[in-house]
Amino acid sequence: MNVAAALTHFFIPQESNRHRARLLQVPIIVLLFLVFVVSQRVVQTPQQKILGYASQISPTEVIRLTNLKREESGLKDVTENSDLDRAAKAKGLDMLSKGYWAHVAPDGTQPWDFFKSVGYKYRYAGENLARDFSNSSSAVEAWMASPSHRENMLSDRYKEIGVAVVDGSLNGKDATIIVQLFGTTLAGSPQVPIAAAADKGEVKSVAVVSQTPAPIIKQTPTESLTHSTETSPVTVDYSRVLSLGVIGFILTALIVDAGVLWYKGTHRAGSKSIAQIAFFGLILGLILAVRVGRIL
Amino acid sequence: MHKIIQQIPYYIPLAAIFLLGAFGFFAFSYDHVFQTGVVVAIGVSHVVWGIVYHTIHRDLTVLTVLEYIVFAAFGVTAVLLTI
Repeated sequence: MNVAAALTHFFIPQESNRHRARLLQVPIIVLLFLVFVVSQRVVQTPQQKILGYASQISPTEVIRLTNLKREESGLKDVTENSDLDRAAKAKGLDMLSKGYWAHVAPDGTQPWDFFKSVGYKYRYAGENLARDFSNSSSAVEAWMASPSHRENMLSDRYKEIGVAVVDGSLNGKDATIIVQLFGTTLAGSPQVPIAAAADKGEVKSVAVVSQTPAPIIKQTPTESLTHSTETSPVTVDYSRVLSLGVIGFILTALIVDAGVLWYKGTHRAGSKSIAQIAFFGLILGLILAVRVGRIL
Repeated sequence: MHKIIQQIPYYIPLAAIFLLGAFGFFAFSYDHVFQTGVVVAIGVSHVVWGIVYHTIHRDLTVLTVLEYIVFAAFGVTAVLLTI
């Protein structure tokens, strides 16, 4: 079999491949799938993503954009508080060192423990988290799109804000984490609700402030940790590029396969090409448009 | 042409599944867990649609079901590994 015949056998439906491009037959697709999954694991290793820190994100810009949103809603600005900045940074470092992405640490450390650890006695407190956004604006917009995070950002109970952006390895993946803390200092009343934005906008954490000094949380950042406040190298999302390439390749093969069948007027048993093309077209669209960052 | 028109009713549910899935995926872009659920639901719905379609047309085979499952698994995995 010469090269041309092998290629047509692989890509063009004909008698030799039972009118289904060999590439699109189950064994080859399974093989391609396995190679794809392994390749994804490779490109997602930290060694391959040395330049993976995403940020052109500065805490100052996050605060500015937050206040812009508040002004648009007729609310007063929240003022930056250095204690809250330190608490936010401590929370970010805690997530990286303990390897979790949540409001509550696996060891039970609560969001408000970080407020107390820097000596910030709050009447109200709230926390928004974001990771892997490439700029401040997209993170703020993502928070605004989520009812619970939006509620935190636009609450008139909060008078102060602290923001930290930390870069590091989170469970083996490069991550840029934004921690946004809101607070109002205690003014006589010991009752202190605290809201950590819930993912589904339904759950609120509520706590009562302890008047006793909270223990200082020990931070053990990894050596590779850096703290970004200025621009860092631009991210190349190899994972997305790989997914787009492979899905685009299969979609093209499906279209060629269906086109040749239609041109020849051949009827073939098996799954419907038009359904598979529509499905892979949708998958390609989702990958193209997906928002990389996450919020919590 | 007549054959194509005859097929349209079968594809309306598939189009509805995909459009609804795409809407859910983007409308809840802030909720990673929900997005994952939507993508998996799209994949499962695609397989179910294929089984129903070929059952109606009396040409359902094990290989056909396998094709739908493998293609759906590939697509869903690609999205989940990216988001």
